[in-house]
Amino acid sequence: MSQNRRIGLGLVLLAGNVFAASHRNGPLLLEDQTANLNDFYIFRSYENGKSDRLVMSMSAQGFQNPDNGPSYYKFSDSVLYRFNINNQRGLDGRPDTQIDFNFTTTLQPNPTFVSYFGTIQSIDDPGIFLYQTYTVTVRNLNTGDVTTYGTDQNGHALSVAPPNLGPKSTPNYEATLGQPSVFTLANGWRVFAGPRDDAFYFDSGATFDTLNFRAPAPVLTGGADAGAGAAYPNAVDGFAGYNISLIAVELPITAVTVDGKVPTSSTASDAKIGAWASTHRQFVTVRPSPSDPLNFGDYVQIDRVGNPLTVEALIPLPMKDYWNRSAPADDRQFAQYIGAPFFVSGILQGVYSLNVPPTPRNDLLGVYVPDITRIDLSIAPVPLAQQSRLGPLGGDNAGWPFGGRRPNDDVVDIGLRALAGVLVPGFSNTPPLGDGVNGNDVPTLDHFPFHAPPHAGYLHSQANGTNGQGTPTGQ
Amino acid sequence: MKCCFIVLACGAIAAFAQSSADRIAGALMDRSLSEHVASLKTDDLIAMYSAMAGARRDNPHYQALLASAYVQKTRETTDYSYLDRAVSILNGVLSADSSNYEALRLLTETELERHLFAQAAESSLQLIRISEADPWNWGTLGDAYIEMGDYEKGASAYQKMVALRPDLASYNRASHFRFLYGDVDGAVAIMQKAIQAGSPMKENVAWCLVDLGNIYLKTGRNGLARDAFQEALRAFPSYHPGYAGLGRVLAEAGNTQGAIENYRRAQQITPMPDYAAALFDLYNRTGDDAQAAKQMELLEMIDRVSRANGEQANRNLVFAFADHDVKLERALELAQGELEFRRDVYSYDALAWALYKNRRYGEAKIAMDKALQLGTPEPQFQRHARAIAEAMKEVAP
Repeated sequence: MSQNRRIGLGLVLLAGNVFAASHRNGPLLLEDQTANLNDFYIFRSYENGKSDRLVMSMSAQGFQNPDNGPSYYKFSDSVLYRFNINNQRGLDGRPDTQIDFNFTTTLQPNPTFVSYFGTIQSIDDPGIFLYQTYTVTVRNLNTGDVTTYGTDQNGHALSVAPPNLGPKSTPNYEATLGQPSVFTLANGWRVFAGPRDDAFYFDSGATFDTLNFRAPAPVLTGGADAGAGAAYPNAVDGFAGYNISLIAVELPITAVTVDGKVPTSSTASDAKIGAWASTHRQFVTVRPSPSDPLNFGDYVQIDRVGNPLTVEALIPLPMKDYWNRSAPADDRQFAQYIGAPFFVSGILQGVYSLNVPPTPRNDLLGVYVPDITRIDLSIAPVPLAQQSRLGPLGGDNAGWPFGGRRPNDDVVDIGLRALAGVLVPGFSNTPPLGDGVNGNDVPTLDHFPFHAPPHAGYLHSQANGTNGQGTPTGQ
Repeated sequence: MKCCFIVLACGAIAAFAQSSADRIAGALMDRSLSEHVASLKTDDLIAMYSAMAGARRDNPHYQALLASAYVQKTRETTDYSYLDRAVSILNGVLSADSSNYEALRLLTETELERHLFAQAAESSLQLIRISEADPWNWGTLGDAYIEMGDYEKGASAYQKMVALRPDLASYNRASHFRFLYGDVDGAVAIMQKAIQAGSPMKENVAWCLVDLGNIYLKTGRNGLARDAFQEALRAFPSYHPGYAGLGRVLAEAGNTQGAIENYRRAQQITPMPDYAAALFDLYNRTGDDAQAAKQMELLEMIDRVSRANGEQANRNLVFAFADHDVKLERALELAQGELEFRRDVYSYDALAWALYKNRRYGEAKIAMDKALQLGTPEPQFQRHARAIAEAMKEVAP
């Protein structure tokens, strides 16, 4: 009886459109979860004894709910994750070296319905049913040299760090699973891939509520612009308590300079390099080919990220997909938007009545065209405890935008002030703009991979309105 | 100073909010909001976008977001009242701004859903003239061409889509094209890439898993097919094609009761004609004549609804009737109606089968040859072709 009633209701709903049921309506996508990148970081290592090293990392799949199911946020086997380094031709946005990460998922024989079972005591624990490994391929595009690493220097597979489930399943996470997932390759480089805390911090909720900033934002005065700044509820980090998927590599500075040396002067020809991250998927031919039935081809770029906030604040919405597919070397085509951003004229001037520099903004064009994060390798790294969240604006040149970008750099506040013209002669007294959030929800590390361990699913809570802000990670 | 600035800012936002502030908010939310909402269920998305669209009826972006959620809900449920709502919203947006790109693009997808393939092809071409770099437009163009049986143009459109953005959507189409042309290994490999590529919409992943399961099932790998259908149901619970797929696997394995249970689940979600036809057969197999009769009544009710709506085509009903030797003239009428706007190999197979059942063997052979033109490894095609060939032999002088 009840089934017939449901069928009857269904028929009413189908009335007029029964015919459409057989159409092969394949999905059409607007979003691409696994290939979308969030942030790119590059900085001289401030780990004790490692200052001759460069660190790069990229984050993907932002806003991971730690309690949303541990198998949901794995790296995609179909995506090539790439670091691009440009060290020649005046940093023209063309890569000279590429470092590729390719992932493979192995589903171990699984008698359960879960991807991780029991207490996971090591990165090789048999309770890890969803096991991901990766290869690292280094390409020197100028010499053609290509080297691929599938294991660490001891022959261990390069495995992705398991998720942080909680104190029962993944006790002492960082010591047992996090740090053991840092591998040293045969060439001495160190790599990591796995979930971590999202080091980006920003009052996204207030911004998306039509710039409904909470006091003391958007002009930070006194204590609001110093130290930890305002506390909740006056400053809400919309990224607090969420994880990201991080890929990180640590390599000698000598591996990325054009002459293979460590630069000692900012004016030296090898002092500055630029870098960015990108994701790619493989081209396939639609028509079957008799000679090669699969005929998978070259990789096509899906997304890229160089400087923070480029696509969010400078590239118009209809151009975003096109921008993501384009190469930094061709960024001159976006100069009209970057040199005269709507954010500056429409918001900073139009809404906040700030006196802003005239266009074209050569200061912005110098940073964002091409959109690569530049780093002056002659600038000595600053220990974590002494870093200024405002980087060069706070007297600490080892941060964004001149010294690369570190996890703790407050790129939102730096970016707002730079957009307002603080680096333009005559505009240095720009109000201290900011979103009111001055730091990450949990402390970042002073060692590789620098991002804090991932939030544990068991400990995660959105009940206090701060998405678990302050909850220690790594147990 | 701070208080003055905030007062000034609030006043400015109030005056500014209707236009520019929304633009920058939209730009800023691009990456982060989309990832925030990625894990929401479609019903929650509809609720959220309804609130946004209701609060800002003048904002076409919010209206388009709501329409897109209704289109997605249609995909998940096959309940076309959601599509009607989407079309209504989109027409509202376009009545205010006939060039609204977002609305035009979604409207093309609704044209495909309504089987207005020629119209969808024309709309896609118009949108390509506006934005050639948008893979969506090449996808809808390829879909329309494939349904109309213009496979060369369809392949070219799909190839452009892949070149612009290899992802779940373009891989899925490339895989389907490979299967149509008989390249099973290529179809499987590319469909696996589609699944690996993933989507924030879990229904999209489940769709690919069901496609993969069907390829396995049609090529005799029933164990792998079962795994794929089960994985689809894990990705998107209550996905009726997943239950139907499991029903087919179990029916072929002789597990009639298990097959019935899965088909009934699929039918409870959406009463597709092929589910009723399958259940009719399965209940007959168990000797439950009463339940079998109910399923046949349901098929006839679907046909009455279809007739009442003036519909002249329905491929699913063609097979439901022809397979069971009932309403054969109606089956032929529906198959011929299908050819009016859809000339793909599946439509020719439906026509061939309906002609065969109406003992018009010569015409059936001609239609069957067209169904076989690509070498599509559809077991049903082979079965129908054999039956027609046998009948031709029997009537040969």
